[in-house]
Amino acid sequence: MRFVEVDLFGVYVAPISLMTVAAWLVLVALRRVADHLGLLHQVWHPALFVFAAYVIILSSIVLIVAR
Amino acid sequence: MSEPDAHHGPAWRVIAGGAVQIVKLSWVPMFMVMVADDAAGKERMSQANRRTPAQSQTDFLHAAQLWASLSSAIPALLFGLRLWAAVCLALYIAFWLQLDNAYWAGTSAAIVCQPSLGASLRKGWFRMVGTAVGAVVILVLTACFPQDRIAFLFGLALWGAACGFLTTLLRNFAAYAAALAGYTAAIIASDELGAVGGTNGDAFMLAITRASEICIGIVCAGVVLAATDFGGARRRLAAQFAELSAEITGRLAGTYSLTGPELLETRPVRRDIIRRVIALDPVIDEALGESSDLRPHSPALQAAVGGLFAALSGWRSVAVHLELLRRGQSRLEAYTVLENIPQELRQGDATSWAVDPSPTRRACAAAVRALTALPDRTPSLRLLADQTAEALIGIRRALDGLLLLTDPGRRIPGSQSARFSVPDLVPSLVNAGRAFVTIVAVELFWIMTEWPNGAQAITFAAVAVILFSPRADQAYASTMSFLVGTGLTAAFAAIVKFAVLPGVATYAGFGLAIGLVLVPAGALMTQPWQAATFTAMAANFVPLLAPANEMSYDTRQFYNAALAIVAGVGVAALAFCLFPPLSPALRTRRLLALTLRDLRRLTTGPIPRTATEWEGRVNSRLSALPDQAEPLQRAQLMAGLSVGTEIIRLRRVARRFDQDVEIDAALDAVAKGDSSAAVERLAQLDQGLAALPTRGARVRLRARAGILAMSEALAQHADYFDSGATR
Repeated sequence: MRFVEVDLFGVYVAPISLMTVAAWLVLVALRRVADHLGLLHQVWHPALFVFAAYVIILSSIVLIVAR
Repeated sequence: MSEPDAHHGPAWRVIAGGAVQIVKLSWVPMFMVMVADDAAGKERMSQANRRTPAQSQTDFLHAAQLWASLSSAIPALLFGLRLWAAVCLALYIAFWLQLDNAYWAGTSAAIVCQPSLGASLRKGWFRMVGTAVGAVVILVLTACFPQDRIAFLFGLALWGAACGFLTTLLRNFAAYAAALAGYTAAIIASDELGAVGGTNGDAFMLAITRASEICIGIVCAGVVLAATDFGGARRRLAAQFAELSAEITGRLAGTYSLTGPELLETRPVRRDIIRRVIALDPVIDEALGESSDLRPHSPALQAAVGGLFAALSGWRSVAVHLELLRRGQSRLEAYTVLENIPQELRQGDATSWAVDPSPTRRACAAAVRALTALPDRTPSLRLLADQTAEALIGIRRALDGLLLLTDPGRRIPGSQSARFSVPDLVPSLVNAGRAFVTIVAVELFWIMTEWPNGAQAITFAAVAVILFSPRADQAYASTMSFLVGTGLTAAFAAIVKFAVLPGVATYAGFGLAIGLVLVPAGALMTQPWQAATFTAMAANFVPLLAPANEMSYDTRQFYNAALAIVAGVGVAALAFCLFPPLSPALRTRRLLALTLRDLRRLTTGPIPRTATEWEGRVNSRLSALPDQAEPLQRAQLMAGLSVGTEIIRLRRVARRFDQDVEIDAALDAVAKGDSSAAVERLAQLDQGLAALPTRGARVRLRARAGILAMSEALAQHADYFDSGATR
């Protein structure tokens, strides 16, 4: 387990907050690819699909860090 | 006016570079040259001083432009100062009373401050009502579930959903009161629950304290704004009423001078005016908030709006009928009606109407009398005269409202107000469902993660999801802007809290420190550009700073509080993304379908005594039409209004003259969505009425004119009237 507070310019922040930002950056990149391939036009609820993808990415990051 | 050439050009261009070239003022090059402080600079300065008359004129124009820009920024800056003064006053009183969470007073003052005075005062009043209701509800919830956390949280979510429902269902500031009742309950609940989630025994005192703090903020904002700004909503509303009344009357009279294709050109104009009448609604509420003497007369103002819709409906019937008439007949009948409309009404001078609408009201009444007394020749002429008279009666109702605004001392004759009803329940239910799911989701997250600041996140999620619900398709964008503003505010609050406030020992210093953020944020929230972002900055700065008599500079606490606020607003934005409101196109289609359903119901069952209820229902749907609605869709709703009114009248007249079978056949065709059959049956009814003996000749001619108007409306919008029917 490496869930210790991170020193961000002198402010100790919870690791989950950095993970959410990292997951969001990954999501932005993936969404661009999906847009480019027209994938988002094929799903029923694009917003729900993107949110689900975000949850998967965030969970993956948490699991990777926890290993 | 030529640009200065290279030789005589101002020296600052060379020295100062491109950035300075944007501001082309004479004092700018001189200042920049002096800064340069070298021999070449002095030489250039002397060149700059030798200015030609053309250059001086250019500089003068540029200075005038800059002054104009600065002048336009002054009201915004003044608003920023007012907001800051209101927050400082509220915090001072809360500190003086030694209330435990004084920052809620400052937060309330910041939220209550709106760029428009009327909006602020009325919003403040409704906020107090909402606060009281929210406080009572949370006490009741606490009393009902003292030891049951799950039931308490479920009740809180249900209350949030109820408030989300009401905030969409009600209008303007009543809607804001409902929203406040929701998030006041969430604020108090967050304090009750604390970090560990147990409802404690101080619920009553917490409710009293929080409600007092919020009310202090409301009163302070009201006092500061009322003392420094006298508003202009009443004047604006009067000008808009006068402008719309004059334009409708002038164009109605002008329609009689048009022929053929020119008549078709009145359609887009009319549809655009419908949109402008719909937009009067928020201005009326601002004016009501600004002037206490107007509040008892609010039905008269709503009736004035109904009058404008009635005038538009009459104009529509006249224009459609003239389009269908033969040219010769059209000219003759148009001339007959036109000569009964006074010149004063034909010209439609909005400026003089706004100053004193009384002569115009009298002119309308005289014109209505003259048109009603026109000799009965043909149904066609009767239709033109009656519809014009109805339009002028509508204008007179609008002028009653205008008279109330311009001359409050005058006795306003009692005007019948059309009751506004609920246009559509589904958007309210969607918003209620979203609020419930959002609050429950944050509560579950808090319970599962045991996050100490989770209760605060619930509060801000409830605030955002309830507050932005009525914005319909703009809700997601507004919440995202609010989220961005909240994030920026967290950064500014951190700078002020940890870099500025530790060096400040007096309240005056503290006031100046918060002014660094509040004044610019207040000034910028008056601008249309990113208003939601700066509103978030003004509203969330104080709770993020969390000022107290004994300040604590705990970075961890600040970070957790900021994270809770940002997360709460973020969850609300996510909720709007995952559960979007009905699209404007769908809402418009639903409003049209509901009106058609109600219209078909009018064809059977008991006959309404008057058309007032029907007019109120359609007027409320016209007011609820989204901006994005097609002009044709507005026209269809207006045609529905006319047809419904005629159905109510015709059913009464047909019964009087024993024409029940004929009218039932025609209305049955309307109910089945077969407009062409309905027009045929109406023609048979017309013949039946014409063939009757002399009894009630005038009433029968009026009914025949109504049949003609209804047939023309059914034929013109057959696609709409025939849609969605099961034959």
